Amino acid sequence: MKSRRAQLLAWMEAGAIAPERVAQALVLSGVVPDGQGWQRFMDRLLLVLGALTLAAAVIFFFAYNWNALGKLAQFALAQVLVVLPLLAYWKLGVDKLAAKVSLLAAAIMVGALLAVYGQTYQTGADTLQLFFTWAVLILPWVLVGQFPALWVLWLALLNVSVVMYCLVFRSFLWISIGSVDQMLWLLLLLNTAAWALWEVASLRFAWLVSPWAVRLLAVASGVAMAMLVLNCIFDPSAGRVLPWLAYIAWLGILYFVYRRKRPDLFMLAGGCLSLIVCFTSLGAKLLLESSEAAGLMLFLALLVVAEAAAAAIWLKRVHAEMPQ
Amino acid sequence: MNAHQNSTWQSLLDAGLVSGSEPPAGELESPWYVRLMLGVAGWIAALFLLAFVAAGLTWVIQSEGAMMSAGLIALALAWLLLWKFSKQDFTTQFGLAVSFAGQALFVGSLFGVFRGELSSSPWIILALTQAALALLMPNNIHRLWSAMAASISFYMLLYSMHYAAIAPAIILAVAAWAWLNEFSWPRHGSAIRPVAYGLLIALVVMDIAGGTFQLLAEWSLVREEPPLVVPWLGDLLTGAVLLWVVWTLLWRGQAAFSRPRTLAVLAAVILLILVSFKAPGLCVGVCIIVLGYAHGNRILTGLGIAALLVYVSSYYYTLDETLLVKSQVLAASGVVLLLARWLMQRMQLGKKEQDHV
Repeated sequence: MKSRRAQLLAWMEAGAIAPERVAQALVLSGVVPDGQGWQRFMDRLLLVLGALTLAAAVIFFFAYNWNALGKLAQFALAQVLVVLPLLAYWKLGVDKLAAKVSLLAAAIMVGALLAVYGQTYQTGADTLQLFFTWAVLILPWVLVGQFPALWVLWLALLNVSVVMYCLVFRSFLWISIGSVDQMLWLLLLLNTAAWALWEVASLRFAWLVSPWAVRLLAVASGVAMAMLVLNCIFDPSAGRVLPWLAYIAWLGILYFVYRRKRPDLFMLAGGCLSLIVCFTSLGAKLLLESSEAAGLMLFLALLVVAEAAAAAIWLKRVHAEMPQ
Repeated sequence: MNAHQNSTWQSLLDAGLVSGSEPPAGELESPWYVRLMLGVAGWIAALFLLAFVAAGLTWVIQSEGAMMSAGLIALALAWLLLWKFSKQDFTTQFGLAVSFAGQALFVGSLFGVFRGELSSSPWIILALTQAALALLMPNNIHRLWSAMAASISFYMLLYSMHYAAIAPAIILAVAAWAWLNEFSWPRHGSAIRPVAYGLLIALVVMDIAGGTFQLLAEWSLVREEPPLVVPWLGDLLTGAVLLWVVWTLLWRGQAAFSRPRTLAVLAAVILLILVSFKAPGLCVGVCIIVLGYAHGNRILTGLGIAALLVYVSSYYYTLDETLLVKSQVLAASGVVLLLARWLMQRMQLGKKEQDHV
């Protein structure tokens, strides 16, 4: 959908608004702010920027004096940084955005507290334990917070935990994780399940309606899927059929949901990019042994151009069909 | 056509700012992520084209002259494709790929020619070439990329001339000038905006990369002499750009502030510039946010917020000052900002009471 600003710019470009009337038109249409808007903006800018720089100043100050602080002081400081945002969450009123941001800050600070714990008691380089414990400890806040950013943080911690677990133990529960391939399967399952659940749950809970969070999960799922396919193409020891079947199903569902049910150009553009990368890689692999290098490179360049152009044409058509 | 477009035109019509019926809707502009996807695809195709030249036309990469000629021919061909067939997606993509490959060949030959000579010549040529491409290439993705590349080359050029400290301020000034005049040349707006975005993104990239560009410059240049300008001059100039932007917006009268309020805003900006003297990235971020808000441009405002966050994160790792000095600079800036807010609220309250009486 064209924004009001884009619409006005298009009218200006078409010469429909005389140059001497542009300033008035911009104010009247609400594209540029009026006096009251400026006051509100300055109020928020000064508050947020002031708070950000003060918070950064505190962090920098303690970082400078970190080694000089005793263990007890280090723990006290890390705990205060968890408790203060929690108090703010409680005082501000749980439904306010500022309160939810405070809860997010508290959840992040739990990570810092765990890092201090690890440093003090020398739990070693067990980053898996840190990330997984972090995710477990903040789960109650994630459940009550009703804030998409908290869920995204929690899912990011789970992703890191899965990667760490696979790299350290090479097995997950009772399944042996012998290769990158299997780690990618786990990441694909985790992110695709989270993505699907989020989409379904957002039909029931209004606070979950958050396009950026869903898109982030889709990107995580898409990257895992594409890497699985690329691994299947270039690694002879990887599975041959299953990744392709999963990829076809993944693309089919993506198309059905975001083209037919609930059009979303971002998702379709991501699907197109994934197809370009996977299809070109397949072409390169199939032709690499039978063709001479120069001809193959020229062919691949033209193939990518053709794929991108086809994607652009299709996405343009879908964009034009979407409700304006 | 949706309801808000209809009502906007109607309200402009009622105010006598436009006449007649609404112009037909032009071509729908692709969202940023579609353009990003096409840009990425363009670069992948360009890499294959370069591999083709390296594998099949080895004589091209063996001679700097041939490489430069091939690069320039590719750029000319790309311009022709992007100009003649701007509506055709396949040709546009091909034009982008050819241009990116041409630029890579050109850069390769340039550094080959100046190999061993520690001079600023390649950076002058590169900055001018990319600036020319940003203005001449009739494609938004290309304009944005070339503006970014020109800014980074410009930084390297000034580094080689011992003036690196003032490079970010100059880039910010050019970008701010372009944004402030966005509505002055409506017919050229679609060409100027990508360039202005590119300049600002380059500033953010410089923040993210931190010392990387400096390392790159030190690798290609030996700097035995000290810088010709003291670093604080660059910080002061960055502050001056912010002051100029705020002054221009206040002078336009869009906010319709009273005289005391205008003076208070200017005093707060000057104070912020002075206390954040050793952290000029704060002024850069604030400047981008203010420009974005003034023109109702959410992407620009988002870029400003990102610039601020990135700057504060990378500021932690800079080695120019100790963490203690940095924390003092940030604390002073925070206090000034919150004090300015408190004063503005008091002034607003006083005005309301006066109006009430």
